[in-house]
Amino acid sequence: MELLTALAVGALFGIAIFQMLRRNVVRSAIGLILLGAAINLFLLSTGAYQGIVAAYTEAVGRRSDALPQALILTAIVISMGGISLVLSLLYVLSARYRTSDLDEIDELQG
Amino acid sequence: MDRYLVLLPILLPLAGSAVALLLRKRRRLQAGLALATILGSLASSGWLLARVWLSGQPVVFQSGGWPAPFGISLVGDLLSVMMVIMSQTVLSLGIVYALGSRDQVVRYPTFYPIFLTLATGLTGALLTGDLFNLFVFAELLVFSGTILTAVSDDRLGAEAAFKYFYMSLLASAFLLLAIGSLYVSYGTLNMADLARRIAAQPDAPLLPVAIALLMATFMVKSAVTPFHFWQPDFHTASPTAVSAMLSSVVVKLGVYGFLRMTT
Repeated sequence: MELLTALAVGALFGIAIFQMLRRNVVRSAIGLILLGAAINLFLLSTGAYQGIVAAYTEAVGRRSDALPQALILTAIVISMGGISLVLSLLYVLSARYRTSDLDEIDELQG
Repeated sequence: MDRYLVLLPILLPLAGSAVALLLRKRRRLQAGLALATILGSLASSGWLLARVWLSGQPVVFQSGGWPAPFGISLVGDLLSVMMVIMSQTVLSLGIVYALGSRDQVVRYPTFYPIFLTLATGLTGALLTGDLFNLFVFAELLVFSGTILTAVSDDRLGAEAAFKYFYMSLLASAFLLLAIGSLYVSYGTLNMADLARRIAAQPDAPLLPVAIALLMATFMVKSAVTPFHFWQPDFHTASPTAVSAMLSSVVVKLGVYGFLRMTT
């Protein structure tokens, strides 16, 4: 299970970084979504796999740490807001510059 | 009673922002409310500074009443309260400027509510004693700054906001990774508790990784040289009232993060 999670986190990070470096605006946004998923999986692997019984019940046995799951929940909500903001910005930009290529959105000098 | 004082500078702008959103049809009332809120928040942080200065020890609030390493704590010590006073002074001046400004952007109905959430994020990030809470408040700050720049009068505002938001989301991703690494190594996210446990056991394998990620985060946020490229565009394109905030106090958050990390 650990090996599988580690491989999945690594693969997600690789795909996410590759997609973020693409020039197409939609693909770069997809890269951002995948990056959020990779980080959430990494946070999950910090402690959610140890338990065998449900937390906060009468059941006897080893329990998982509930904190990483709370962190992931918050991170998911925040990244949803971030993704919607990015998509709306991309909508405005692609309408204003009439392109879907990030290299053509370069009127700023810096 | 005393410990609730540290909540006031965070809760006042947040509540003011919600009320100002309801008043979006009545612009003058909304602007007056925003000014009153930020001045009240400044006054309460001045009171907090007086309390910290006189008693000589930090004011700590445990949310939910949980004891220190388990609950989320808000800590007002001399450094953080001074930073709060500084940033709230600048924020008040920014709202005063916006009141007399002729830019189109101050007539945008959610300009003042978003300005107040910017104040909330800034104050909260300075006063928090918990790493994950720092992440949440920093995200609030980044979102507000991005929106305020995207609606700028300058037609390049949206492009600059997009650039800044991409960089900041990446920085926040680094911060989350650092939080995960620290949590799996030391089992706590409370900053004071974390410092104690790192001093007790400084050879955890993920500690250098976490330090590198935290440094990358704060360097992007405060635009230190290898990560500075987003800053000139962003600050020239944002509206004047907001640009004053972003260039003076928001980038100081990264510097403050460095200070917290090293002490």
